[in-house]
Amino acid sequence: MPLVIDPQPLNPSQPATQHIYLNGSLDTDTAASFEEFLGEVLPEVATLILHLEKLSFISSAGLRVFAKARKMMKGRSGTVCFVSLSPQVQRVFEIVKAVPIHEVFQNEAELDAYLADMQKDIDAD
Amino acid sequence: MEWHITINQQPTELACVKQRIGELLERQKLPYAVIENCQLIAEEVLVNIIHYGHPPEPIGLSLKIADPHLTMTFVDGGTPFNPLAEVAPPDLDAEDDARAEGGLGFFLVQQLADAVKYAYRDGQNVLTVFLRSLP
Repeated sequence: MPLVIDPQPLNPSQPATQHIYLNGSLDTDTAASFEEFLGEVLPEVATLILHLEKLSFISSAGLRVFAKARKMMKGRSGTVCFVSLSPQVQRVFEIVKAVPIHEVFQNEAELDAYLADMQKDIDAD
Repeated sequence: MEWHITINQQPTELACVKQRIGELLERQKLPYAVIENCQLIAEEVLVNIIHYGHPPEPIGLSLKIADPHLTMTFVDGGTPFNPLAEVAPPDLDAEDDARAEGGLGFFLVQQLADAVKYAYRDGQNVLTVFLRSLP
């Protein structure tokens, strides 16, 4: 199964946040295309929001590129949010403790609450 | 019920094998979670065999269902390679860089399976993965 990477246009009010929808399978065959995409993420982006509802399958090769994305955003003092995991991805994440739980969001509402909080912090500064 | 799949080492082959496993097991009305686990196991084991063993001939995969047991047997004529002994388990408490190396794939296989056995017989690596056909 192929992988479709669907990055959303940046919102001018949050230029450091990039939403990306993944659809298909992130595995040995497709991991390189996501890695290539990471290389093209604009340097001002520090928060990657990965929407995974339609990512039906991940293997260890996919976990490796997710780890790379986390390292990359950490290097920019940012973070990666993993939103709406499909059952298979959820299982694999749990087995390998792929990411800290505070980076995983069950659904869009949970993510929106988090992002609103983050925005409040920025506005307060 | 038993099926045999032959895997050439073409880059496109992994996707075909997973699709084939999906079709076979869906026809047997296995739960989706079990099918996905089998597909993940197949990918991880085959990547290991191709990466470490460089087998000169195609790799064989047999799938056998005898409810509630499901067995996947991988046979290849590559370099003797026992992943149970030679793949170090990942350090799940390590930081990203260290933990993502090496053994993550085979660790997944071991976690998803009830048991994994390895033997070297007649010049062939035989890796058998035991699972349940029910979730």
